[in-house]
Amino acid sequence: MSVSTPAWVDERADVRESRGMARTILATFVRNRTALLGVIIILTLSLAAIFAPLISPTDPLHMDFDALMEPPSRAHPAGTDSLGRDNLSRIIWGGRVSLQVGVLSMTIATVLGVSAGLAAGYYGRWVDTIIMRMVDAILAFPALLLAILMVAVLGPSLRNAMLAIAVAFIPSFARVTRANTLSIREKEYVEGARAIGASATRIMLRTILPNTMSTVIVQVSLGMSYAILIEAGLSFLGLGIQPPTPSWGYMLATGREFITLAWWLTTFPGLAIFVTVLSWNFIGDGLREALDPRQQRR
Amino acid sequence: MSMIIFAAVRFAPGDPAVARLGMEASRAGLEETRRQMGLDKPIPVQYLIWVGNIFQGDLGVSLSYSAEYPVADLVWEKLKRTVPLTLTAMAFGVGIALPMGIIAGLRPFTWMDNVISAVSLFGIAAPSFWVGLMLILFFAVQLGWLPTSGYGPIGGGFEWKHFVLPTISLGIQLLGALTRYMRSGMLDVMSADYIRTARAKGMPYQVIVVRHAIKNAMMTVVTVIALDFGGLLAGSLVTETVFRWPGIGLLLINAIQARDFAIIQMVVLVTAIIYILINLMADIVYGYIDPRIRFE
Repeated sequence: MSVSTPAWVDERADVRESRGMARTILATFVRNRTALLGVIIILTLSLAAIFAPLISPTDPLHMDFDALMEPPSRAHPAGTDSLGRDNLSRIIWGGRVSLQVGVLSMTIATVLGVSAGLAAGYYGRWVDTIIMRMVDAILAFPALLLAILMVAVLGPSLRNAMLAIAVAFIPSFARVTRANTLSIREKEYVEGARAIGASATRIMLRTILPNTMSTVIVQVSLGMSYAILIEAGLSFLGLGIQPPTPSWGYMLATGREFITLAWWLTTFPGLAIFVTVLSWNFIGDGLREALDPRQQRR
Repeated sequence: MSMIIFAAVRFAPGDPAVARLGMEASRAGLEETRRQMGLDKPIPVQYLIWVGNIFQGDLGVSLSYSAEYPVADLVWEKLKRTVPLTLTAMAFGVGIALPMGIIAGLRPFTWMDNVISAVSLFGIAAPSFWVGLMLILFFAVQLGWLPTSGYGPIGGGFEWKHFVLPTISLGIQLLGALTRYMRSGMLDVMSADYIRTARAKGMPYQVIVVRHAIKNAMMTVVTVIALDFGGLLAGSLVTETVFRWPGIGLLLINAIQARDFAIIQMVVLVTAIIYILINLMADIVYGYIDPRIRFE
C-alpha cells in the first residue's frame, strides 16, 4: 500500500476480534450433531473418491463375463451390472465425478457471482443496472432447465455440465453479495478506509469481502447439494459425463433399463446421491445456524 | 429473452440438415435442405423471421419430425400431457406439505416435528428420478399394483393408475421444501407480538392459528410455490424420462438429440413464459393475502 497507515487506524481490529468469534462459531457448529455427521460423511466420501484407485475392489471398467447381473454377494457387495462390472467400484469412482463437479462448479459460481455482486453493490448506478439485468436474465429460467439448455447447446460433456451448473448458480451468489455490500458500504469502517486513501479494489477485497463471507459460505455448502443433484440429473438424461466413465446419474439411467431384473443397479447409486446431498444439507444448515445469530436455536 | 433462446440454440454446433439426411447425403442435397429450412440466411435475419412468424401465430415446423408438422401443434399436444402431471404433483406437494408444516411449526421439537422434518429432508435431498425408480421398483415390479411407465394403457386412453407414481416422484421435492418453509414461517409468526396480543385478549387458540398465524405464514410459502412451479416444469423433464411420459420433457430430450431447433426453441420459450406468468400470479395472490403490498 502506497499510503502509510496512521498508527491509530487498527486495520486488523475486526480480524483480531473475530478470533474469539470464530471459536464461538466453531463451537456452535460442532455442538450441532447433524452438521458434524454431515462433515464426517462428506470427508469419508471425499477420501474414498480421492483414493478410489486404491480402495475400490476392482477396476470400475473391468468386465467379468462370468458374473453378469449378479445380485449382491461377498465378491460383489453391491452386485454387478449387465456387463459384469462391479457396482460398488463404480459407485466409488462415480463419487469422483460428483465431487469434481460440485467443487469446480461452485468455485466458478462463487468467484464470478461474488465479484459481480461486489462490483454491483459497491459501484452502483450503471454497473449495478447492467450486472443485475444479466442476473435477472439468467433467473428467468429454472436452474435445471437452464443447465439442460446450456448442455444441449454446448454438447454433452463433464466440462460443459460443470459450466452450466456454475452459470445457473451465479445469480444467487451475485444477489446475496450485492445485498450485503449495499449495507456494509455505509459502515463507518468502510468510510474510514476510504478516508485514508484505500483504493476501491482494496476496500472491496479486504474490507467488504471478509464481512460478506459468512453468507457466501452457507450458500456454497447448500449450492454443493444442488450442484450434485443437477449433475446427477444431467447424467441421467445422458447430458453429463459420457460413458464409460462411471457417474451416479448415468448408472441410474442404465439401471432403469434393467429395473425388473436387477434392483441393486438402481438402489445403490441413488442411495449414494441421496446420502451425499443430505450431508451437504446438514452442513449448510449447521453453518447457517452457527454463522447467523438470528437463526440461533430457539 | 426470446433473443437469448434463439441465439443460444442457433450457435449450437451440429447441423440439422445433416441430422435429417444422414452423414452420406450429397453436398447439393444438403444445400437444398438448408434452403428449405431457411438456414442459409444470416442469423439475425433468421431471428427476425422467427419472431415475425410467432406474431403471426406460425411457430415454424419441426426440422426433424416431419416437414409438414407445425411445432405449435406438437408442443400443444405434449403440453396437454405435461401440465396435468405438474398440477397433480403440485396438488400432492402442497396438499401434504401445508398441514405437515403447520403441525410441525405449532409443536416444534416434539416427536411429531422430528418425523415431519425427516420426511421433508428426504424430499429435499433425494433425487426425484431416484425416488421415481424406487417407486417403480416397489409398487410396480414387486407388488405389481401400478404400471411401470407410460401415460395410459397400451392402445390409448387414460387411466388414473398411471398418474400415481409420476405424481409422487415429481411432487416430492416440492413437498420437502414447502414443509420446511411452512414450518419456519409458523415458528416466526407464532412468536410475533400480535399473536401474543390475540392470546392476551382471550381469543381461542384455534381461531388465532387459523385466522392470524396460518395466513401470515403463507406469505413466503406463496413465493416458494410459484418459484417451484418452474422447478416442477424442469423436473418434469427428468420425471418424464423415468416414466416414459409422452410430454414436453421427453419431446425436448428427443429434440436435443435430433438437433431440432424449432422444437427446442419453442419448448424453452413456452416453459419460460409459463414460469414468468406464474411468478406474476404469485405477486397478485400476494396482494390478496397482504393488502399492504397493493399500495406500494
